[in-house]
Amino acid sequence: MYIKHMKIKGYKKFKDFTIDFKEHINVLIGENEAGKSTILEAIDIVLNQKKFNSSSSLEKYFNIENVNQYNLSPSIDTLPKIEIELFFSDEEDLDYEYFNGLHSSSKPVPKNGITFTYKFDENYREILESMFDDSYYEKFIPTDYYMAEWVTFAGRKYINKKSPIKNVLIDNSIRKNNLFDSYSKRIFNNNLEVADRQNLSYQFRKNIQNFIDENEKQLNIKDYNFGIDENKTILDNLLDLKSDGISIQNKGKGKENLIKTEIALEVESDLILLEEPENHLSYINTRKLIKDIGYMCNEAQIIITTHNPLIVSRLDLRNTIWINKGKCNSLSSVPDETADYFMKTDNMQLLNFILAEKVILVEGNSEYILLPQLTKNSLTFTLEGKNIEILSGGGITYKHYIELSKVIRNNLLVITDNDGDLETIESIQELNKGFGNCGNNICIKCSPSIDEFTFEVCLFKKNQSNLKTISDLKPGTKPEYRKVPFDKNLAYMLKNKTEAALRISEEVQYKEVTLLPVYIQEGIEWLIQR
Amino acid sequence: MAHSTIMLAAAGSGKTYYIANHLNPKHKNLVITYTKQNVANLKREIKIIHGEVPKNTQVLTFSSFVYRWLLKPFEPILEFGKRTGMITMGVEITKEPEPQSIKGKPNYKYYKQEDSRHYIYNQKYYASRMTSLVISQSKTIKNIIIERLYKFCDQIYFDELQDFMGKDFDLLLMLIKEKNIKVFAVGDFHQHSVSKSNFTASKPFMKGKIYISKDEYKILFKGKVNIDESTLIKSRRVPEEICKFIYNKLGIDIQSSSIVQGHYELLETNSKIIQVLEDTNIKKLFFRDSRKYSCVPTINWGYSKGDTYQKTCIILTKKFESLFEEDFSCANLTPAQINPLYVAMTRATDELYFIKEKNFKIFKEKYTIL
Repeated sequence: MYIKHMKIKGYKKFKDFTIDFKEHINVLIGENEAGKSTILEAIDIVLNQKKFNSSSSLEKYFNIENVNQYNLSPSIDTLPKIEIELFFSDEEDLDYEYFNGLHSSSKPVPKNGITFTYKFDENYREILESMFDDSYYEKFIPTDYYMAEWVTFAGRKYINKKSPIKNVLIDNSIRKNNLFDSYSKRIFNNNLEVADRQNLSYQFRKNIQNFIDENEKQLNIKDYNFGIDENKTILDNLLDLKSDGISIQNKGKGKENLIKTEIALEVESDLILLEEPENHLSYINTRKLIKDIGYMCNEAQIIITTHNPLIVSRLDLRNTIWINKGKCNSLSSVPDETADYFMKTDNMQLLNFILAEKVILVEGNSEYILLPQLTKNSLTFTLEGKNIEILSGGGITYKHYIELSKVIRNNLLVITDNDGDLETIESIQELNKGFGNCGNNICIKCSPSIDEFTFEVCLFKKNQSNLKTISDLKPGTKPEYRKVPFDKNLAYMLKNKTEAALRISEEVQYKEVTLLPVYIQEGIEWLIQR
Repeated sequence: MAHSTIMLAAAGSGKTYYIANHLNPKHKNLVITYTKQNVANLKREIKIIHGEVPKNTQVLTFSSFVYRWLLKPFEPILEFGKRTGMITMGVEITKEPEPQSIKGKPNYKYYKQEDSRHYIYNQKYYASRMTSLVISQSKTIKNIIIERLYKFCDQIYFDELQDFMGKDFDLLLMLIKEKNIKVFAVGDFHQHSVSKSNFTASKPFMKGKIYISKDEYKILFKGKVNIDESTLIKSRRVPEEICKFIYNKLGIDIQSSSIVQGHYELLETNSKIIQVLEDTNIKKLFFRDSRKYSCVPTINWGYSKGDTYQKTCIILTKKFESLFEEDFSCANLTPAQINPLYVAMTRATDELYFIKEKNFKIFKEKYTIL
């Protein structure tokens, strides 16, 4: 059984949120604070009855919009409420009958699942009504009269002992660090049979009792005697996972994460929730981890949150779920070829590309280096100021980015060379027309003139007077490029593309005065209007 | 389409064993019986045969079945009389619903079926009206209920078929009629109307004021099921001698497969009577109030249903005082009178003794607990 679908209402960021999961791998991406961890948390709350079984302050979990609405007009009807529905795959084992029924938002269609609600307890209606009658203007929520409830879609009370999905949550993010106890505990519970666990716990208590019996004299002081606090000697709570005799807590963050994750993957779990597994891991270890995850996913469902582009691309772009502005977007419709391309190329900019609203994709390093400065010189704003991400596509690959852009629906400007080929220019015009017709915010720009076959040529032509001495650094430069005669300075730029670009971006005589070639300027103006 | 099977069995023929043995541990099985006691019996038997209650097998009482499988999952769309959709808090176990009339006079506290309060008290179901609530549902809702049932379950076993009366019997017929649901129900026709608890319904065993025969009972299922009367015809418990005696006296056809020859005897001398009454290896079966007597162990005829003892002694009521006489006939007696004695007579594996009430009377005081 796996989680197919989740609906979150009124919990933290999510006022009304729906997400679909795949049977095997799910990679959650999004900006910081987009709510990726909240999704794992929500699953944990429903399946494992976490958080809401204590009496600690729970107000912080309400959706702020709901709270504001309540504060505007406090009444029983506007009291904020949390509801999380977890839908399981549609399996027909007799046991799963306990989860199947119409007690869900998808009635009248019976589904398998559990609903968690945190809301005001109807039993206290009278008390609350009288409270509101007395012109109740306090700006806090009377959570003392709230109740947390877990009910299966069959309408039966849910207890986590009956969880249909053995799961483990591994949080490698730096924010929390007291997770070891519960982590070791879960590994223990998932890996040992109930009978064995009971036996171990029994043996443990027996031995403690033996210890007390054997040392009765020493533990005695006058009229009193020492016993052992039973609340502190529960085996599950004392367990600590070790490797080669060393607690994994003491093995260094990176190693610790790797071990934790590896163990989780080895454990028989139906569901593995992995929070930022890449933290503290080197590139090599991250790759090792990804390999392990890929190997495991045939048997278990895995839900990962990550900021690592490697994890996103290597675990197949189509498994990515992008959380943005309280909504989720699946990348499952990315074409096979595109997903394959990113899987093979370890593209480190992939996440930036997905997460940015406006992106300029350039062909090479020179554009990448120069565009921010040249934009500042030619236009009244900066790319950074307009939240425009600039990425280097590294050659001919822009078509994969375009395919991806169609799925994530961002605004994409592609700056490319016409390679002196009229056909290229014409085909780009055709492509642009197609984008317009399909409502895609994608635009490809190249110089319309076949003489301007590459960026350096355009740049030189636009800034000829400023660049007329740039080749002085290398006086021996021949005034030709690929056996075609060129101005000596242009020839220098063509032969030393990166060096020239760096110099233009740094040296005083060029830095503030060099301007954008026209086709690029047009492109950027198009982009900022989106 | 005759998927379902009704098996009419003899007392002591091993119905529980048969169900436990018949169920395929690889299939999804629901095993349903009337009492919690029988749930325990069935589970025990299943564990003996399969080592464990198989993963996909559930053994539960009829009322749990109705609540968990037929009502609770559908509450959001269920029709409670005129009211649709209601989330209940479970089953009310202490309070009985107000009857329609009391001693022939209409009861003003009674709620009609179109009122949800007919079925619900304080957000809980009246246990005794759950079945009729299922039956009152529209075709569409019934279909949703049935669909879920056969989605999660391949085979439903009903033990103690003869105890299905009134609306429960209607529900059983409804399930049997469903071509997608495989029902296997087993019971002993001659044990009907012998209940451990009070019951008011007489359907389907009475037509007006007349009890129906076994053949008439079979007709109720006709065309819908296979009726198997041969597999469990022989009693493994009751010895040959006693079977013959039952057939001769009560007209109930029961055969034996027991290797024990068996012995039955009417005790008439005081010394013999005392000897048996004082023997703690012999279970004494009284028509009623067995707990009043000190000649332990004792039990009521009706309560002994399902039990097995090596030796028993039946204290015969006045009606059956002439049981041992040549011209005894039960032609004037109703099944409600005959069946309890039949139950009592079919408990012993070895020896069965009888004491006439008039003979017991002499010792009654001696063995009565004050």
